[in-house]
Amino acid sequence: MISFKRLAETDLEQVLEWRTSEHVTQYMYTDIEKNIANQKKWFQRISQDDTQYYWIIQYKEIPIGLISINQLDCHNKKATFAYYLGDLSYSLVAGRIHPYLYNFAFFELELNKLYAEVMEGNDGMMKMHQFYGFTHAATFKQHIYKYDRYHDVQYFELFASTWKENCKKFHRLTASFSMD
Amino acid sequence: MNNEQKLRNIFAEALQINIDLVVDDLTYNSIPEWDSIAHMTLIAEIDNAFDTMLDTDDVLDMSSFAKAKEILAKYDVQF
Repeated sequence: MISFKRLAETDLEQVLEWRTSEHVTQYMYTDIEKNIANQKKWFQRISQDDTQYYWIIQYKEIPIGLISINQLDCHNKKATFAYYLGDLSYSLVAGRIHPYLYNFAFFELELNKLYAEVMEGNDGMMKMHQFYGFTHAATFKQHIYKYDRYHDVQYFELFASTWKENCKKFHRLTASFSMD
Repeated sequence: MNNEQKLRNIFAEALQINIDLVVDDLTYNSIPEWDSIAHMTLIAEIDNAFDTMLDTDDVLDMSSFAKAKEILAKYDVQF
């Protein structure tokens, strides 16, 4: 059973461990220091920000990764999101996690659009977005400077109408996402 | 085409590998083609072909071709 627990301060050490691991950081725009004090400052910032929400992904209550909604724009009904699996021993279920967030975003938050940026080389994530109905809308050339060179970023978007009409078989994958 | 052949075809197409490679001891991550993204495609194709909606426990457990047959048997797919 997949569930989502609102990120708490007690999760920060685990999240920092994941966030600084090679398989996670390689496609992040920035690499961060393994510094729990900075992690706590980041947590304080996001806790007071009503445009972004973070949840620990749990499988049978075991923490396996992190997922978030970011740049939540209630006026224009859009948001972006991020996700990573920290514990690769659960990688077989990696593809089953996104639909929970999409159902929450489109049926509960009633967003019109989710959008995602993917750094070049992260082909798996691009395939996953397209599998779930995202369309490739743009290429941002030389958008990120990392590892001593510029990287292109691919921009994808998924509309509520597409999710509701074309992805019905995934609508049963629902879970609670606390925003309190 | 029986269900075993049908499942072998699904594996070959989802993983984009030659059907001769689809044998009972073909396991997840044993070949570069069977990664977490290919597994997502594989599960979707299995659900479509056999009209199932695999439980998450079974998605996690489906780590070989032999195991796939065993799991599908729980969903009344005969092999």
